[in-house]
Amino acid sequence: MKIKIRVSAFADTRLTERDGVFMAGHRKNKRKTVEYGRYGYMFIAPFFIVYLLFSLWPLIYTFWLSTQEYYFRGMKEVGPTFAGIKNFIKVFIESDANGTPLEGAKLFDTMTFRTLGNTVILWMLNFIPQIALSLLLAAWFTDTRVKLKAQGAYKVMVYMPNIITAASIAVLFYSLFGIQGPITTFLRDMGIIDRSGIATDVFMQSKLATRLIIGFIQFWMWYGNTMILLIAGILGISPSLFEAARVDGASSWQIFKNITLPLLRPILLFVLVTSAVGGLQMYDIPAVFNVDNSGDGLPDYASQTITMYIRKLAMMSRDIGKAATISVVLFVFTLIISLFFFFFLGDREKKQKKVKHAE
Amino acid sequence: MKKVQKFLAVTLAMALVASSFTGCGKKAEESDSSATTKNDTQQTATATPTEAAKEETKTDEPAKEETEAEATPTTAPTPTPAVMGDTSREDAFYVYSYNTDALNNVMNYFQKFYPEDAERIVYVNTGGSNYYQTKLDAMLQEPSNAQYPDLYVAEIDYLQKYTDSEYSIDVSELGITPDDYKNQYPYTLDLASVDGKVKGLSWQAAPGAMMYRRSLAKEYLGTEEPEEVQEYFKDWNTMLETAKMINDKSGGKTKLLSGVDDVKRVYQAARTSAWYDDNSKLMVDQTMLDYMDYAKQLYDLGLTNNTTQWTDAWSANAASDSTFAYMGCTWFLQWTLKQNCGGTKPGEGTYGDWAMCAGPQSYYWGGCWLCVSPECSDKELAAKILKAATCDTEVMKEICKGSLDYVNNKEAIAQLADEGEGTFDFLGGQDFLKYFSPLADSITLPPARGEDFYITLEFDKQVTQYTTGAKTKDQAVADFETAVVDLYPYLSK
Amino acid sequence: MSESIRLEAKSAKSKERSAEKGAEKGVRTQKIIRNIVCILLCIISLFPFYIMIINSTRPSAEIQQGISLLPGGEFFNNVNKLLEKAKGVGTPIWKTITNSALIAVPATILAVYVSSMTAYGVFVYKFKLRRFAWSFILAVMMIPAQVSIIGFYQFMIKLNLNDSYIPLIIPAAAAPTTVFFMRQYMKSSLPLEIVDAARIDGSGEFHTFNHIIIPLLKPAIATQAIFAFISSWNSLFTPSIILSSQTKITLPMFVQQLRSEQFRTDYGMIYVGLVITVIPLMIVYFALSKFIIAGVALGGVKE
Repeated sequence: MKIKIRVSAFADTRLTERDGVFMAGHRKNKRKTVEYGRYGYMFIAPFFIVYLLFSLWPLIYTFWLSTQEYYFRGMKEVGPTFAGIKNFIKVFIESDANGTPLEGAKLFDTMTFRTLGNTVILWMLNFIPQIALSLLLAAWFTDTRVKLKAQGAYKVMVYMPNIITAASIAVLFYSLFGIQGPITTFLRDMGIIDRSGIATDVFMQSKLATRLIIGFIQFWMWYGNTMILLIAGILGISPSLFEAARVDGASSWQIFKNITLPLLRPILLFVLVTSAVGGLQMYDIPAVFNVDNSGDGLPDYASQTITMYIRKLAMMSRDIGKAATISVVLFVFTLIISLFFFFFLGDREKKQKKVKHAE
Repeated sequence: MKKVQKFLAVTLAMALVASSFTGCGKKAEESDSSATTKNDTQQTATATPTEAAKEETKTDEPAKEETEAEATPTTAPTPTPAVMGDTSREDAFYVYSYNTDALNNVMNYFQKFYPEDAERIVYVNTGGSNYYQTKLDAMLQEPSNAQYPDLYVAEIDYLQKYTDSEYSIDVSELGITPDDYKNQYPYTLDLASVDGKVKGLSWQAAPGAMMYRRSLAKEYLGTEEPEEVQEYFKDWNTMLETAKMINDKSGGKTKLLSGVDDVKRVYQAARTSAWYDDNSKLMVDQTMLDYMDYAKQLYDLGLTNNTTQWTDAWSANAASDSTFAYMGCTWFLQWTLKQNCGGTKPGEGTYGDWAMCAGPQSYYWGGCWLCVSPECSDKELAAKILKAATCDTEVMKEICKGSLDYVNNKEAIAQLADEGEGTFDFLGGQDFLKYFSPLADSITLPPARGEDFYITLEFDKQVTQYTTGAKTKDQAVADFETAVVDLYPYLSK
Repeated sequence: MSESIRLEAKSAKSKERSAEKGAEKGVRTQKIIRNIVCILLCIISLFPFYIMIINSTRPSAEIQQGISLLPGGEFFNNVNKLLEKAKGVGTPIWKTITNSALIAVPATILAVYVSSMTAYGVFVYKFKLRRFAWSFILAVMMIPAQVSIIGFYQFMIKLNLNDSYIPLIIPAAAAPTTVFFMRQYMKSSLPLEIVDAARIDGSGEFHTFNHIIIPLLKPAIATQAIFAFISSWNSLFTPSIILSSQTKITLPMFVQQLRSEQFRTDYGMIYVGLVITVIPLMIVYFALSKFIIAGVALGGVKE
């Protein structure tokens, strides 16, 4: 419940900041709108009908399926029959067909959590450099002391990868880094890789390299987006604050650290949460980049994300019940992550506001 | 900023338009040459007239203009209209496959003999075995779909998934009798039989061999004659020694194989047990463990180019001197090697520079079956296609002559061999029919399972982990078992 | 905290005064360094695409030899090869493009229209469930579609809607993020007086919305439409689960097939396939980048 309040609070701040004049007529109109209330329902009906039918019901249905034993043996349908928490046991700990944990099996030592871990790693590999570079560039682009002239062109260029079909980008990078890809051969000719003289699939057979490349692709696609958001956020901060600081002789770094960063917190939070929620569903790039014929992220599942795993179980081996269970786990995990960020960073935001008030 | 954008957009658009114009001038000669050098793979679909018309109306975007400009001339030279088919026909007959193999080697010949029936065929190629089963399963379970498969191709690795289900019908229901398929190799029937019912028929038999480069053999082994070359590969140890010798003599430029997994199928064919037993308990056959060891040796000694089977780099090695040999079978010869050799006649690429010897161990590899779905819209046509492609000696002789596929018909093979049709310029004149026929006769198969395709893929991942040194052998095997059991709830370790 | 800022600022101030001349120079070097970094980043953004275009003009064997910065003369050969091979898959490339458009265009129209309606509904009208409706929309913004895909797919099978475009188009109508954005835009630039004025003139509620409000929302609709279109056009996950007919595949699904056996034999061909999928998007992007960048800045984030 806290989520909505925070989001709306954040949104309101941003809007008032940007537009200055907040609608004064809002309250005045309240009386008049009452009689038209039923139109309100009509206007929002399509959204809610579609949402309930195509999103909420499938979500509930997924929850229901997670309690069922429902799979295909070859082409033969088995189930659905009620299975209680059997699927959940299987997802959390390696178990036999009846849901009894195997001897010596460790909690969370399952493909589900392995792929979840992969997803988190791939997200962090992209997010940490992304936020760092975006912040730096946003600071540069809004720096009134050192003005960059070609800002517009830079923005257009660095944002560009974001709109290109992710699948195309994944195939492109695979082609560039494959065993005979131009970058691999270039590095090999330079004597940087494969020094033994034997050509190996150095990028595709290394977990680290595969993950780094996927992380890089994501970073490369998204830092422009984040940068533009942050610039908008910085421009939304009252210029008088910067002016005052500058008159007082604060350096660029001091201004950035003590004014920009704290006031940017709501936007950073927004970027962080949307990126984390989106990152947990990561599919397009790892699903096309370094995969084998069963669609698994190579090598040894290192680039297998949880959504790829869900798809594999649902479409390939067709264990629908388990796929649904993993979806539920992903849902809960997503929820926890976003709530965590909201509480963790949201509270600080409150403190910040208090400080501002004191001033 | 505006200027920059506009400039970029305009230049990109201009570049495309300009290139499509210059292309038009060049095109005449190019399409000519491509028409003469066309091999059978390129005889694929032609856009139907309505599609072509639609294409022409789309000129609103420069990029589309370009594709359109290119599409028109190339579609012209080889009209094989039945091939992709007309999905708008009421009586369209859908044939599903994961590549163009059955199209080139079956449907094209069916069309020659029965042009009218062939017009109804819509050939659906899902473009890769990776998504084939997923698509096929969804379609088979949806008989109301307009594109419901009437006939479909199933590979040996997942044939049983379909034959051991109600999603394929007994060929006797189609009026095909044992007398019709008396010339087929018995193993192809055994594999597709469930409870005495034959649920699918194959048009090909797939004994394997070692396919090596003649010129490289001459250079490094001093001979290119199959019998003599065979001496260097008569067993696994000798093969390893030879691999080292080739590597040393060529200074590492030529490797024996493209990748370590090239030998996988040879080992796999020698299995005595399937991936799991009748109690659904997973097993790893000793031969698969032996394969892991051999692959590890090949990797550690640097005796291959370290590619992975079916990747682009693996295919590309067929056209360069970096690879001495491939382990291949009948269809591999025409479908993979010939297509990737970089030429279409002797002297081009590595065409004509190949020969076959038995290699360290006799084996078979794959093969495809045709299955008829229960809701097939026209069982007569299905029967006609099955009979023509898998029983009819005349049609099968044509297939064999035309596409060089080794057909599943002893009579046809014997006749062709007598006629001397087996000498194949791709193999420098070696008679592939005479070579393969004794091998085909002696094929015996280990039990197969419907999940073989995916289980083997899980195994491959772990073998790579072992060969590259990331895991111990025990760990790799254990991880393989865990991964498989994780996928199929009805299997156990 | 403010205290500390001032203290720090003071010390910095004195330092800076003493080094006033140096500052001038510092700004210039800073400028050069920053421009260099930015140009490098631009190059990194473009380089892979440059290699893609160059390689699409080179023969496969040459591509294998290594990297090149100069184009070759094989572009049209590669295009021919690709078109031939793509036909073997049963679906010509232009067909996958029209398929994608058949999904993305109606999905975009639905998304922006229904979202505007919804935002308008909660913004203009006062009704009992208004607060709840708005909270609901904000809450579900955080629920990604992927987590319910299994239920979605099974449900579509039940409705006999799998392998059709409906499950890819209709759900676009419920786009919480777009609703959120539209409402924020209305808040900032849609005076309620207009609605009142229309009512006095006797305009019906839906008429007002369609003929007066929608034109006023044009800038917001334009940016949201671009994002809705791009995300629908590029989406791979849901289509790859829902669609099974080969004739219905979308462009990203075709791209995925570029890595399958059908196309593995020729590098040049793969690059051409990428060029065909990437270049039109680039052209559209550079033509519309003003709106896109502005739209992102307004918070149109989807990751």
